[in-house]
Formats: sequence, C-alpha cells, structure tokens
Amino acid sequence: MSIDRREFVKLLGASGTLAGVSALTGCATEPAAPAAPIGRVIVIGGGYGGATAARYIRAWGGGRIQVFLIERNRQFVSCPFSNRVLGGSMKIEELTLGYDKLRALGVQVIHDEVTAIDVVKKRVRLKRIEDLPYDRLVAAPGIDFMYDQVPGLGTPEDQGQILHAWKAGEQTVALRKQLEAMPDGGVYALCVPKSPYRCPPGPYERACQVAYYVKNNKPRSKVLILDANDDVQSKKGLFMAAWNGMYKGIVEYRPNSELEGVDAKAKTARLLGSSVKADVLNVVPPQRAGDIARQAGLINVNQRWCGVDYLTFESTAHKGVHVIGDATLSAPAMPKSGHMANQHAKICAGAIVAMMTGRPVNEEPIIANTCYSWIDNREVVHVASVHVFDKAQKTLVPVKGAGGLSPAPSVKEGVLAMGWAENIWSDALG
Amino acid sequence: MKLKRGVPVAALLMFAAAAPPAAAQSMEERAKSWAASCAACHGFEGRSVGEVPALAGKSKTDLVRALQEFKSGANKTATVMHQHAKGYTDEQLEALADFFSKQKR
Repeated sequence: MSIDRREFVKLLGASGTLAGVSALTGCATEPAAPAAPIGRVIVIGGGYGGATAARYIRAWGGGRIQVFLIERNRQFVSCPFSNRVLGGSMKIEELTLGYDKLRALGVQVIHDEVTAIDVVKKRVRLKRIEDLPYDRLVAAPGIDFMYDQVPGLGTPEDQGQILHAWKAGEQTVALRKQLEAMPDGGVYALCVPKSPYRCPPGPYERACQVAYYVKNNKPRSKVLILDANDDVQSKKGLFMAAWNGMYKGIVEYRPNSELEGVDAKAKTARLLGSSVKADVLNVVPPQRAGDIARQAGLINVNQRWCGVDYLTFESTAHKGVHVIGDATLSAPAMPKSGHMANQHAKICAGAIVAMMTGRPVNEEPIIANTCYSWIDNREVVHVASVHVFDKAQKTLVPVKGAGGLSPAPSVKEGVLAMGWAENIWSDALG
Repeated sequence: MKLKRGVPVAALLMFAAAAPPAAAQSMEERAKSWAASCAACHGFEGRSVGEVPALAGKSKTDLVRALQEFKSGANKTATVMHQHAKGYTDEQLEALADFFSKQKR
C-alpha cells in the first residue's frame, strides 16, 4: 500500500464509494486521524434550505466532509417578509445577506450556475468553472414557473411587465415601483395559482401589505385577490378578519378565479367567463421544482415535484442525490416554506453525515413549522405545526393536537417575527 | 437439488441486505437532531441573536419546567410554544432540555 492518504482521498472522491471506506478503515491497524476527510458534498442552491444544509453538514461532519455550496446569486434575499417591501415598511436591503459567514464556517461557496448533473458519474457541470465531482449531492433548487400554463406570458417582455415577485429581489423592487406609480383609485389585482405553490399564506399576506400601502397613500384604490383555489389556503379566519376589518372596502376576495390567460399590454387577466383589467396586475404562475431538478431527472411526481425518502430526503429517482425545500413533493399538510426548507435541511444533513460516517440515521425525526404573516407594518399572525415520521405511511405527518394559529394579530408577534428572521438567517448563513 | 442450493443463497442475500448499520441512534444523537429544528427560531444550538429567548446553557430543570408548562397550557403568555410543545412526548422534551443545557451560551 504505497498510496498516501491524500491520494487515497482523491481516489475516494473519484469513485464515490464511501461504503468501501469504512470497510477499509475498519481493517486498518491504526485509527484514522480525526480530521481525515471522508468525502465531498455539493449543495446546489443557497436559499433557506441549501444554505442550512451546507452549514449543518459542515458542522455535524466535524470538518471531515468537504462542503461546496453553489449559488448563482452573490447575495441571499429572503422571500419571507419581502411582502413588507411592497407595503413599504421594509427595504429590500434589510432582507439581503451575504455568504461570508458561511465561508468562515468552512463552506466553500461558489457563485456559479449548475447547468447539468450527471447522477451516474456523480459530477455537476457548471457555467464558469470546471466540472466538480461529489460523493453526495443536495439539490435545493426552489421553484421555477410554468409560464406555459399562462397564455399571454410567454415572452420575457411580457414577463417583465406582469410580475410575479414570488422570488424576492429585483421583481419585488419592480413591483413596489409599479404600486408607487399606480394612481389613487387604481386597481391592484393578484392572481393566485392553484395549490400547491410556494408559501401558502404568501398571497394573502401580500394583499394585506398592498392594502396597508394604499390605505395610507391611495385610499380610493382597490386590492383584488383572484384566487384559482376555492378558498383562502392558509390562516383564513385571520386574513378574512383583516379584509373585513382594517382593510374593509379595499380588499376584495374572489375564489374560483382560475386564470385562463393574460393580456400583458392591457394589464388584463382573463378568467372563465369574465376578465379583469387592473392598473397593476401581479400574476403568480403555477410552479414546479427548479429547472436543474428537471434536467437531472429528479422530478418524478406529477411532472412537477421531486419525490424523496422523508428520513433522508434522498431522491426516489436517483440514489446519492438528496432534494430539499420547495422542490420536493410536500408531505401531507406540510407547506412549501422557507422554514420547512430549513427543517428538511437538518433531517437531510443528519442523514448524510450518518451515511458518510457509517452511523445509523435518525428514524424518529421531528420537525416543526412556524410561519409569520404581516397584517400591517407592526401586527403579525402565525400558523404553527409539528411533523413526525409515520413508519406505516413512510412520510412526515402533522402531530394531532399540536400546532395552531394566533388568536388575533398582535404587535408582540411582530417583535417575535423579527426575532425569528434574525435567528433563521443566522442559523442558515452563520 | 436446485431448491436446496437456492435457499442458502437467498438467506445470504437477506443477511447482506440487513447487515449495514443496524443499531438505532442513541437518545443523545436523536436529541441533537430534534434540537436543530428549534434552532430556526432560537438560534444555532440555542444561541439566539434576536428577540426569541436563548436556550443554550440554561438549567435543564428550568427548561423542562418551562416546556411542561407550555405543554399543559399552564403558561398563559405563550404565543406559539404551547402549540409546539404538544407535539413532543415528555421523554423528548426532557432530551431537548438536556441537549440545550449542555450547549455553551
């Protein structure tokens, strides 16, 4: 055996057979040095899920697992609370964070775009730098939009006119500008896609935030919610109370308003049997797992979502690849949310570290969701749930009797919501 | 003859499939994984950087009492913890309290 440790690790990285390692180290006469690397994990996507996975694999792997995080954007922009930018009580800069602390924790953050995943050779192809091999991959690609389902929004030009603002950043700021340019007495119409979509309460919070803005600035304006669903999808009583209370006469909710098409230039939404002309038309298109998941063949449910084993978040399409966050087929009663992505990341990180170090995975995971929505600039409501693994159903299920809603909006929860944001950001990004 | 030969092969395969990590995680390992869920609101390893209370380095007795008061509903000022605590068994709550009590502040 003339191969030194460094060469051995290289070979290992190339072959990616970690099971072989424990067998070999098990036979070795001297124990392995604590810092000996045991492989490489590549995480694609540095959002709530991906950043958290990278951080926890690095931390729980005791520095022995090399972690690469590939993210195309230089900065993280939080989708949670970005509706406040539309309401005017928060600036996008306050939702924007860097990756430097994550780097300081030992995660190698690479700003590049993955163009392909070779699940057989275990390599990712990148736009700017050379291909990278991995032992295990975590895909956290979030969602991409199914524009083919919205006739009239096929071109980049039309998509630039009729915004989604369902990924925080440029679009959020652009939609705020459209609202600022809207005349008093104007109509803001929000088209909500059928569930499942990213952030179930998000559209209704957005309606509250736009209503908050117009109430104080353009009080003759209207906020129209055109919901493809037959009812409010989350926190119904709390949102309805706001629309019938502080936003009475501003917000109008129209269920069963499935979008059939859009005339981008005329800012008109075509519904079954009617059409709605708006001054600001905001269309949230139907969604599916992000593009890279489709390229890699990870989408295997309804041609939209990635099926996973809920004990490990390993893909049911390809071994060695894990998928977390909004891109996954959501377990029963589990929302697609940044908080849930953070929780998936931890089950996934624990399982990956266990698998790579020859330890058993946790067969009794417990995760929770706490989701805050802003009613105005200070008052907040939440929905909470706890989810455990059900061995018979092989999925995560909500615990009966646990979880619940706020009794009413409160400033107290507004303060705690800001505390939540600071902690989850630092939990994910260091 | 075929059957006789087939049996040991099948048995061997079954053994091979069942052989890798058989042991379950220890309570400490599971508590670490459960506690990571709490970190989303309470900070990495319970070290809060915001308004949500820190958990790291608190006494285990105090943490168990607080969690039990959330779970039973005795704590009337809770905004969300009374809803979370009901999702855990007493044993799990104690394991979480133990984990956080051992983290550095």
